[in-house]
This record gives sequence, C-alpha cells and structure tokens, in this order.
Amino acid sequence: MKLTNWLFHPFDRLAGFKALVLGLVFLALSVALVTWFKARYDGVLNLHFFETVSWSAVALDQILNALCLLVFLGGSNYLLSNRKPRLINLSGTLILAMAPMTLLPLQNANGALSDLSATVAQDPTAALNVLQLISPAQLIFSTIFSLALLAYHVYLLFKAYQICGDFKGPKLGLSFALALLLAFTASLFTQHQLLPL
Amino acid sequence: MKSLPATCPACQHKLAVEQLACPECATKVAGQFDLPVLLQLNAEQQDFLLRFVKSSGSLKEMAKQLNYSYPKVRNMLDELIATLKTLENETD
Repeated sequence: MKLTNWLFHPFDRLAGFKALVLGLVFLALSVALVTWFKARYDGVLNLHFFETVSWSAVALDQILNALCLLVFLGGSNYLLSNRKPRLINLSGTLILAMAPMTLLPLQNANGALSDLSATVAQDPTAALNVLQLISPAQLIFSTIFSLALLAYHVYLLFKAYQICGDFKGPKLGLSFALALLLAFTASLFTQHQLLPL
Repeated sequence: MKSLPATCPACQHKLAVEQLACPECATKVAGQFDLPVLLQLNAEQQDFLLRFVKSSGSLKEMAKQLNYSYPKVRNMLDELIATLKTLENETD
C-alpha cells in the first residue's frame, strides 16, 4: 500500500482492536511529549504552552478529549447512521485519528513558546510586541505547522466517522460538523471545570 | 474469454441478450432475454460477491482476504446492496 494511502485513507486497512492499540500508544506518546515540551491540550482542537505542567493533568486532558470525541462523534454516528456501527471500530479509528496532535508540542523544541507564554502571563500587554519575544521565522513555522496538523487531525476524524457508519447525502458532513463542535465545546467546558489551565 | 459487457458502450443503456449458442453442437437460440441482475454487476462487484459467498458471508474473513479493515468491507457490501436494489428496481 502506498504511503499516500496510509496517510489519507488509513482506516481502509486499519480499524478495530489494532487501531485502538496503536491509538492508545500515540495517546501515551502525546502525554509524554506534551509534558516534556511544557504544554496542555485545551479541548480536542487546541494546545497552549506553559512554564510548568504536570504529566497527570496532561494525561487527564487527553482522556477527557478522547471521551468527548467518543461520546459525541461516536454517539452521533450510532444515532444517525443507516446501520449501527461497532463500538470497537468507532473507538479504534477515532482514538487513532488523534495521532496528529501528538506532534503539535514539538514546535516548542527550543522552549521559545513556553517562554513567550510565561512572559505574556506576567504582563498581558507584552502580547502586543510579540515579534520582540519570538522570531518571525518561528512564528510563521509554528502557525503553518499547527494549522497543518489540526487540518489533518480533523480530516482523520472525518474519515473515521465516515468509514464506521453508512451515511447518504449531506447528513454525513452536517452531522460530523455538529458532533465535532459539540465535542470541542464539551471538552473545553469539562476541562475548565475539572482541570483549569 | 472476453468479459461480458452489461451496458452499451455507445449510450450506456442496459444490454439484452439476443442469441445464445451451444459451443458443442452450434445450436443457436434467438430471442430477447434480460441479463440476470448478478451479471449486470461490474467485475469487481462480482468478485466481491463470489468471495462473500465462498467465505460463508463472514465479513471478518473477507477483510483478511482482501487486506482491508472490517468497516471498509462492510461499506463495500452496503454499496453492493444498494447497486443490487437499483438494478432490481430497473428490471421491475
């Protein structure tokens, strides 16, 4: 199978238990990398950098994110698909679709983004002169890198949602967008209630 | 042997059988016969259907044979069912 097929249609070959195991490996790796590079997931589609973070909070963030995706995307698929999806396929593909977020904290490899966050946290007006705190090259790289990974993450979530159910017409896109929005909102809300940043 | 075409290459309309011949004694039967629904499927769909029957309808077994994931095979089956329903409606 070609690399492009693995990248853009991974769930044609990988679903169920194997996808779940691989997804959990990526989840564990993401907790390690996010802790190492001093970040916290803020909902299912966001990441912030800090001066210090604890691995247990990062792990709980990721567990909450995975649960929100499963409840809302999985629930929507179960309720709206023309046939009932299997739970093992839904959980395997949706958790593996979170894999691109594993790479997101790497943009803080030199520590510049956590330093920037610390400076802005102490003096919010410093954000107005952001280019004095971080190089333009890193700012551009960081923006493109984050957007590309986020787009890929959402694309994989969509492919997982699509392959696990049987949708006809616009129901697929509309139900996915609504379920993702609900998952994002719920993950933000629960995280801010249970584990404030 | 050439594969049996199911649609007209000029207008894409469904083809019908006009003549059948015995390769042994050269007897010919002429008339207007509809192609059976299963023969109207494309080669890939016919292959899928044969594998499905041979694997006793086990999608897990099919997924192993085709090296696809279970939901992918399930979706292929759903597409095949939809095609069969359309062909049956056209025949009726």
